[in-house]
Amino acid sequence: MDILKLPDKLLLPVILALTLASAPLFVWLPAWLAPLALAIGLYRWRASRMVWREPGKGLRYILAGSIVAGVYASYGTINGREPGATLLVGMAVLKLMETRSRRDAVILLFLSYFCAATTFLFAQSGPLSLYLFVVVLTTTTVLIQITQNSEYLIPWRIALAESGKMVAQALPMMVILFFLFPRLSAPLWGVPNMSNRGYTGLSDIMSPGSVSELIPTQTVAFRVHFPITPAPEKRDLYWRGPVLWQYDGKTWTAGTTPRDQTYTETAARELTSAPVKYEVILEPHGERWLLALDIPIQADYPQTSVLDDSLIARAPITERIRYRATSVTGQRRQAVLPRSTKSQALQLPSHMNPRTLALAKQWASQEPNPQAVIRRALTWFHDQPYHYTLSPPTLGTQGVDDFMFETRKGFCEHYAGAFTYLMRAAGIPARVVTGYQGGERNPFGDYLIIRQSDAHAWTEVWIDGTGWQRVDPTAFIDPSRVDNGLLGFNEHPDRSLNFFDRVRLTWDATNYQWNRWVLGFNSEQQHKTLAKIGLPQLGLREQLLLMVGAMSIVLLILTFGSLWRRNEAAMDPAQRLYMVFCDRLASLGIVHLNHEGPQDFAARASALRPDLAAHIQQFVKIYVRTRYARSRGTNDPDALSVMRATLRSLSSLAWRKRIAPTYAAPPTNTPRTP
Amino acid sequence: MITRLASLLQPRTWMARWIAQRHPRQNGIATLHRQRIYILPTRYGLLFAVMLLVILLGAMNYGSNLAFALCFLLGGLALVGMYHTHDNLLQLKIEILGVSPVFAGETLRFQLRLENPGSRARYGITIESPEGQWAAYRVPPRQAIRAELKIPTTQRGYLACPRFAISTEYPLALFHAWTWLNLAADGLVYPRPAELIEQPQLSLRERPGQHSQNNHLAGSEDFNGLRKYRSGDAQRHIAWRAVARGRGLFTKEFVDALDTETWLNFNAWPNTDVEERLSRLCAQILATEERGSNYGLRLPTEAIKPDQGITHQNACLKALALFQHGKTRA
Repeated sequence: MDILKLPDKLLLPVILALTLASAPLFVWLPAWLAPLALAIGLYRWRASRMVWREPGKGLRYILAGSIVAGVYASYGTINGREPGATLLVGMAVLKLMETRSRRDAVILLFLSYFCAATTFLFAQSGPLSLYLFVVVLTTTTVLIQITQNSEYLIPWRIALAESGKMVAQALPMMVILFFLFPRLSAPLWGVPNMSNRGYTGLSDIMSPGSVSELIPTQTVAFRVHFPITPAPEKRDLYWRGPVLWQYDGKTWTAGTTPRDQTYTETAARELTSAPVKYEVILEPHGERWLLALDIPIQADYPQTSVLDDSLIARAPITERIRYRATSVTGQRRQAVLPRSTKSQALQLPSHMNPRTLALAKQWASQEPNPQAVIRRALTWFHDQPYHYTLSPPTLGTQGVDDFMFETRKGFCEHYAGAFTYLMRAAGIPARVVTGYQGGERNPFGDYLIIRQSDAHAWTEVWIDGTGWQRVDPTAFIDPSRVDNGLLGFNEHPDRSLNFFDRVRLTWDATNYQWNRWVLGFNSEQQHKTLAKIGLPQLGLREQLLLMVGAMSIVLLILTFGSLWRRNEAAMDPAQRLYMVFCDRLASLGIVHLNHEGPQDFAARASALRPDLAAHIQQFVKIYVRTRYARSRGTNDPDALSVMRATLRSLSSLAWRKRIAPTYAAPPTNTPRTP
Repeated sequence: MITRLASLLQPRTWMARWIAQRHPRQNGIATLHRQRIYILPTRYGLLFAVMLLVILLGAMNYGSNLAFALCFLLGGLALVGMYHTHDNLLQLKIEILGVSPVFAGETLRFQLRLENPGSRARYGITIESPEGQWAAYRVPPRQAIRAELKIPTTQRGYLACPRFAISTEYPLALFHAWTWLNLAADGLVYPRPAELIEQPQLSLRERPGQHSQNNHLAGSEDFNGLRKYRSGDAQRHIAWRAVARGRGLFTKEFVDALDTETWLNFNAWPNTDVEERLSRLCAQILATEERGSNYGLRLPTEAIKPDQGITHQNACLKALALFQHGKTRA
């Protein structure tokens, strides 16, 4: 039998380890990969049972080629995270097909580890981590089994225990490395633009009237924690997303005309309220914007730019991220609106919605200033029979006119769109801002949950001398005309928490803490943590030295732990009893000397303590017989029990007759040699 | 001087000398100590390191803290594995129990005793001969097992047990821990038996006065009856039919009408090479013993009186093995 060949009985465990490790990846990888992997796995397993022919070399090359082609067809590249992961899984499965030796199996198990690590590039949730920990445990167990070049298997129970022990011992190393391994603050190479998958939530276009029904989803958009100040009132929680400028009569878009660099606007702005600091954990949405409260003035997510007072990341957000930001809320001042921006903020499609245009012109002529026009418009929305509903009728070609004067039913998009239209028609620069409004406070954790159902749109108007000012026309609809059963847009009805709510919110809070901790640990946090344990300002070299030192200490502890066990194990029971005997006599002042054999020691001790001589002599006699005569071995239970009994009576006798020691040898710490 | 320099430049020679210095011949039981256990990563270990590096780069680039954590966990696992691999050899006790003689060209099997004084089982303890033959063993806690070291032979004489490696890669095979053992033991190698060209010349000798039926000597001619099997009886005399019936081992006793006795003589082939002569003598000893005749061996240095039986045969073979063999038992 060839020992280096993989025994058939070990093939299934290898397949199992690989399956467990790669399973989560299939969620993110193209749909054709899973059936392919399953087919190949099954084929290999059947082939091992001699049911089917072993796959030939030609077939394997064809499969490898088609996997590469498939990746290219799915992604247009073979670089990057998804294509790389697809190739990884594909090649692992192909490797499985030709796995015959133990060597191949070891490589497959390494690929299992690799798959587990790759999964963490896609998601980092708590349950996933637990799962992948189990994967590491399983893979290690199979690895222990495979690398035994012996025809016998180690019992699986023992292999599992061994792997568990090693993983447990590796945990302190992991913690040390995690905290001390130097971190980079920027990616090594460009994180490529990810495919635009169907993320729910905000989009950067808005077409009021094109959807006849909006289904609010309870999916979480992001979570926010206010570490310093308490969270602002719910009605002030306007989470800012993309800003829309361009209206073609049907759809609002961000527009393509380059606007002035808005950070200069930000710089030129005077703050009128105290900045609020907060921390966002944003769920992936596949777009580039980062949600921020009202007007953000600072954010720590790398390579973030500001456009129209909204935060824009360099690459689409395809995984959960955490960032801290500072915002100002409410009124703020800005002096000048650049000319090009102003013309965009007044853009309207020509020859459309004549009734709305006429109404706006009328207001503009009747009212003395823009503020009055705004008030007039809001009163209009409040007084006229406008309804808030998520199932509005669809609108015709003159969309704004239809909504304003015919249907009068809609949700935030309709109102924000119509209001902006009105303002522009009245000559007031205006823009649509999309984002989220409100948020649910989790009573089990100090943070707010903002869901996709909190998505919202509002308007900002330009007031000369003041700057951009937020106006939310939806808020002015008479509450009596808001559809029943709707949560509304800025006030969740208070409800008492039932059991399921509690479970849901507790679970959410647990996950939140996990994500906060896991996502938030970066080079900055690392320095803070080190500073907290009294090691501020560590240079790279010191940090590495500390890391290596701490690891060595762990290894030393391991080594000494085993040394101690070995000494214990090396001593037989009789010897251990003799040690106790020596200890007892030492407490009476008779210390065993290094050069003394048991009988010499007994003779000396008996001479010093004639009252105990009988016991001492008996103990040593049995000890010598047990240990050196080897009649029944050192584990002879009878002899041991006699020794124990003698020792007990010796102790009690010595206790009863506490006589001052007549002789005390100099205390010595050197080991005794029984 | 130049040769010395040259040998320094050859790492193999240099290494070999260093190893020889560090591992002198040892009597009795060898215990594997910390100072003499070496450990290096295996090819798997290097591959694993490359994999960790790739994971690390990915984790850095995508800023995935959990990928970092997994990478560090696996790194920790490798380090812990290194420690366990080293620990797996530590304090193991090895003793050579003995070795049965073989004919040149056959494999000497040194019998080893591996003792595990610790409280944990040792898996994957590999005994590797210098020729690269290996076998893996496991030693249960506080127990000893038998193992074999197989050394191929080419020449007759004493073969000193070469320095061999005891190694392990348990548990993860990322590291290879080993030490060399240089234990004092010699295997006896008989000459290779030659193809028998001529039957040994039997000097048939009638023994006067011993002609009566009762005085027949044990021989191979006529069947005389069955007796209990004794160790050393020729296989072809075993009463297989009796064995098949489950009656146990019996030997068919034959008697020869004539007493046979032969002297196997080193000088029988005057123009032949010494080794070839020894080979032929060896083959003759085996054949004669098989036939159940008495035979004696006459070498230029010594003579062994005619006799038969396994002890006699071994004595003769040993004499052949050590004939003009400068090296005595180490």
